[in-house]
Amino acid sequence: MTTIVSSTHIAGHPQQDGRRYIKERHLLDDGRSVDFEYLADNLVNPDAVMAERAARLSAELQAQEASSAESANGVLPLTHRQFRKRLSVAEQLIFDNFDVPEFAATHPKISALSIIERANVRTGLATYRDAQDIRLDDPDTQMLVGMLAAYGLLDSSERAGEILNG
Amino acid sequence: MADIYVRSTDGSDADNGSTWALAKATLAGAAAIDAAGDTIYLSQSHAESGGGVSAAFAGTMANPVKIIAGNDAAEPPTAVSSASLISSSSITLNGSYYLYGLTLQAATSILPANQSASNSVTLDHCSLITTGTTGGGFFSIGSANNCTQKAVLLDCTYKFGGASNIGCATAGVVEIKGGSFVSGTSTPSAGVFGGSASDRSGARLTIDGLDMTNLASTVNIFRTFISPGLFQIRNSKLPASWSGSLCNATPLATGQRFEMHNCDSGDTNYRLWVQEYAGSIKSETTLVRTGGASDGTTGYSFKMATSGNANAAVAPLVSPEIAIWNDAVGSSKTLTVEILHDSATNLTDGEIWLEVQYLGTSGFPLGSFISDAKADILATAADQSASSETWTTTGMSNPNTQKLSVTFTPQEKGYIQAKVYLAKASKTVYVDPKLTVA
Repeated sequence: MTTIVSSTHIAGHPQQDGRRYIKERHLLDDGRSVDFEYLADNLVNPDAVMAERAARLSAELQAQEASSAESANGVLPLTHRQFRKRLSVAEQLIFDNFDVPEFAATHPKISALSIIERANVRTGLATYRDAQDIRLDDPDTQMLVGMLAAYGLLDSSERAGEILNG
Repeated sequence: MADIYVRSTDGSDADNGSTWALAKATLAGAAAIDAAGDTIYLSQSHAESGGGVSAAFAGTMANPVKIIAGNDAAEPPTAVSSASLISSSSITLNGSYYLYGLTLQAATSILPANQSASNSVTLDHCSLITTGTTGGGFFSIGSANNCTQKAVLLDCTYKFGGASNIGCATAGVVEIKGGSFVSGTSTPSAGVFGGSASDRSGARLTIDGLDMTNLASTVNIFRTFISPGLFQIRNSKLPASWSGSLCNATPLATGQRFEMHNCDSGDTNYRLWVQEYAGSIKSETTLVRTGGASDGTTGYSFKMATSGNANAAVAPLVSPEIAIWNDAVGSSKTLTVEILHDSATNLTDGEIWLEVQYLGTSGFPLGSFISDAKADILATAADQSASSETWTTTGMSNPNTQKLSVTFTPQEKGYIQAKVYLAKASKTVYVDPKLTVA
């Protein structure tokens, strides 16, 4: 479960009416930070505002993950990094550099694909990159992995099942 | 065009609704027999309750149905009322209609413009109230099914039942003019207004003159649903000591832009906040140029701060448009915008630039465009020009003043419009919005 590991705030210089921009940062345990900035007068207690916002943020993160787990029958999604670790080194090389022209032109598996097949893979990769997390039972994930196998971009045809179910 | 009367106290949907004596009992009962252009009168004593209310009015955009809460002392009424009430588990209305003076109260959802075709609605002096405390409580104005529609809410009041309420989702064109959140309202914790929560259907939401005093000081005005759109709030009153955000999270894509113009809890008239995918723009009153932009008392600048998302190709941070009237025709003009940032390294024309539209064709109001960005995507970037202007540089270690400028020849009188584009990621630049034309 994603949690907040630290919350800090820093005050900027005073504006002409005496208020200051307060920059607030909540650092999550997955390395992301959630930042806010607001204009505070002297009646505002930035510590109290930060604590209250941290509590709301934590509740929101918990609610998001609870709904994700429930919709996936209790299975939490993978991060992009966790999904890539399911690929072999050779498969990661193709996966990460598919869009690089020099690599694609010289790699025998990619250069053997038709224009339409390359376009299909790019669309699948774009959907993967757009996703906030990766579910192995998601049709988009399954389509991408199946397509990589069908186009011969995985180490073998059996790899699709190993990636999705292993 | 017929008049249809509705009064819950003694009406019956089995009656024909042609008089107060033969009034329908429910709004849905009236909607079942209405025709385009009809007027439905609700008695001041109308207080409808029960299960979910759903009414589809026969009005069209060219010939809407009018639904008016009025005093039943006359037939038809000669005075409006604000005492009519529909209280239900949920309320869904559609069609093209004008509605005056009705309170819509629901335990869960209120959908006053749940359109399946192009339609337009106006709610005038109405009240929208959710009584439920859960996430099931929300207003949804406009429909993801059909976004070629417009909804206008004039001087309406709003009240949420709980902090877990989703807030007010919008789709299509929605205008909120005047009105307020009433005392006792809860504040949706994620944010109050947003686009569609369920799809990328798109919205253009404009809020003018809304009193948000009764919302919590921590309120986030907008929430970033997945729908693209332009979301603006102007000349509205914020809660005292407001410490919330313009939007609850970083906009999800370049198609979302959130703007706040001249909104505050105190006596200011220059406060600005823009939030988009590439970063934010806020008003700044200390780091300002001497002799630069001012409201007559307080100097100000735009603090443009990009996030890591900013890039020149598809996601630069774009300033609000700055316009200046030009009377001079046929002679060369140089338009300059002054900037300040805290770095010994100059900004280049690949990182920040000025784009200007002017009337460059004699005899026609045809816009011409000029920019001081680098010549093309492959061109080598060059430093923007240094400036000798004086700025207040409180707290800066390496204050660096530069300027953005373009030279052109207007051929017609008219406005010159300028925008500053900041494409360098994770960079803060102060921009003086006072254009210099020489």
